[in-house]
Amino acid sequence: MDLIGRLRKVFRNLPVDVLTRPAPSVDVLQLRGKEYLRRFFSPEGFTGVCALSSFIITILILFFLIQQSLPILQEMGYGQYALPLLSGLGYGDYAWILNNGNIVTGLINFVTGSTWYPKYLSFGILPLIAGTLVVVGGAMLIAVPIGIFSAIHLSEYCPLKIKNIIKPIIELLAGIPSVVYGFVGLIFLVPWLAGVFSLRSGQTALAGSIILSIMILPTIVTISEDAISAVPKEYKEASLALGATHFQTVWKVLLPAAISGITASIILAVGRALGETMAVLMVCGGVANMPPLSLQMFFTSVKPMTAAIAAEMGETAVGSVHYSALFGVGLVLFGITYLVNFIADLINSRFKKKFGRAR
Amino acid sequence: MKAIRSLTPKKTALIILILLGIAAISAFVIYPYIFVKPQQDLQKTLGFYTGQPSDTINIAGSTTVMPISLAIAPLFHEFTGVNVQVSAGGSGQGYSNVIDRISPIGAASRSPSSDELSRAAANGVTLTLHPIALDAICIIWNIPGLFQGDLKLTKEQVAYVYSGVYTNWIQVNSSLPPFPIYVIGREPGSGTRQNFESNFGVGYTKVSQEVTNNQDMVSSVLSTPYSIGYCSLAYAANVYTAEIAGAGGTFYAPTKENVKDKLYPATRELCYVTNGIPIAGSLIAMFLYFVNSTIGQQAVELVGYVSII
Repeated sequence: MDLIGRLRKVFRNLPVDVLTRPAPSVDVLQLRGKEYLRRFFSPEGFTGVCALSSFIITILILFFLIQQSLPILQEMGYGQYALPLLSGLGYGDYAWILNNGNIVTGLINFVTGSTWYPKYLSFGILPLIAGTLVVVGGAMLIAVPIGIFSAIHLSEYCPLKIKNIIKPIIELLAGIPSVVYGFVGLIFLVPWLAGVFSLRSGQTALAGSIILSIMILPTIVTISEDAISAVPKEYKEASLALGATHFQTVWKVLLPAAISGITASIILAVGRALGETMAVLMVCGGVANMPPLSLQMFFTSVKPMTAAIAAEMGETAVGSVHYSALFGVGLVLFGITYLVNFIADLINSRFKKKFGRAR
Repeated sequence: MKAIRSLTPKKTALIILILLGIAAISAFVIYPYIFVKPQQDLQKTLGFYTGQPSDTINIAGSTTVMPISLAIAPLFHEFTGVNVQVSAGGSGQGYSNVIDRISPIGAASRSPSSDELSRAAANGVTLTLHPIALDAICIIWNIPGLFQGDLKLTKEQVAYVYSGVYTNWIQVNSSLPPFPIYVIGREPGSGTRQNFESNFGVGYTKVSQEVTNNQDMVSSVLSTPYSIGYCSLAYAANVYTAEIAGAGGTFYAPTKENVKDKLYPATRELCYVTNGIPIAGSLIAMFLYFVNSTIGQQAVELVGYVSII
């Protein structure tokens, strides 16, 4: 048969709408089932091995966290065992027994208990969570305004030559090790705070907040600046064409347009601040008391969760309840960080819907 | 062709949570089988520890004992050519290294807890403590205007200060200036803190700051006026120490002579921990003999502690 005839036959057997269907994009080339397995076990499957290894490592870490923190998460009535364990009662124990005689574990008591005193097997992590929240909250209060204003300046007002100098140096801040921050804070910031606020000692949540805010500043500045620069030029041109000043354009058009990217950068900074250990260990004071619910909370000594784990893990007997309580603290921290990442994902997807691309 | 269903964040999170849940449940089942225990029979009969070359000794443990181990390491190397690797980690790390048969020797500044004893019994390990030095818990203080020898305290007064009964220096002694006391303690789990609390009869403490090692304690006390803290003897050289009342009522300063004669009431022994008594002629036995000999004890004195011979 000739070519035309063969083509006519092919076209006659196709479904009716094939010529009017939208052209498939490259995304459609998804490997499924047997094809994926075949490619996985061929030489190019080493890419799959790399991806799988990261996944397996995360799962194994979670294995380990949960396994090691099981004793503290199970319902165990330590109340009746606590008193005999208080061998060698000392001064202050009588008041302690009157107030806290019944010590129990279990997930609810662990997370809502308000006394962290490992010597008497009292593992309530509410003071630790409150400490983390105070320090991280203070850091956000300081870093977010400074970061966003810096990003606005860098993207809108700064001449290109100066921007090419300033931006890399701000990004350099992100490369300084956190223990250096802690050390610098201990030597310079803590005595300065004690002098300015007439405190007994500058080892307070405020010192931790200031150090953390310097640490998360590069994250906020870099990503917010990208978000503001990525707003389509048409928005700015239209606003200026309608007669708005540069100032009005920046604050009323560009910022609202970039708000999802800015929020995502803030959430990422929160994620970094939550996991920061060395700096808060050295400057926050490390006393596991609930901070008061007033402005005074920044001037009291707190113990964030990460600092609790770092300080106490070294001398804890492996396998004891204290050991598993510290792993429980790690598990709660893991949960909070995961929640923060999930919220960042949600915001990113809303940004995608609005503008057709991720931040 | 099917349209590709997009994965919303909610679906992604659900899938991730389900996977993590499966991982958590698997943790119960699989973990005991994939955890590899070191070969115990070989170690018991031959007396060496797998994974360790025969010319190295790894001592991990208390940061209080670490200066002694660091001082003895080069001396022992000169005498026998054996490398002594020293690391920190706290008394808990020292005990768990011996209990888990990772190392034949560990350093500790406190006695083993009941958890550690039961774990050792479960593993077939007998924890044996070999005292190598005498240490003292010194009460260090910083009151502007007063100098070494001006502060004399009883154990009861120290306990009152740490449990929050005394909050002002004038309550401790009417001759002291009327300023609130800034109390500095150590982190929970510290061997020094445990010794301090059992020695001075302190129960529930109320501190204003917690530090994580002896050096930080000293620098915090030095930089905060009207503060009080405690540290071990080797670190108390540059800070004012209080004189504590002994059994007869006389006040003793934590000097080396007072600690040696056990006149100072808050002394403790620093120990190396081994699994049972080391076999005569083995490397660990030689090392312990060296530490307790004149040369080793001279190193102990040099570091700042008090020799035990």
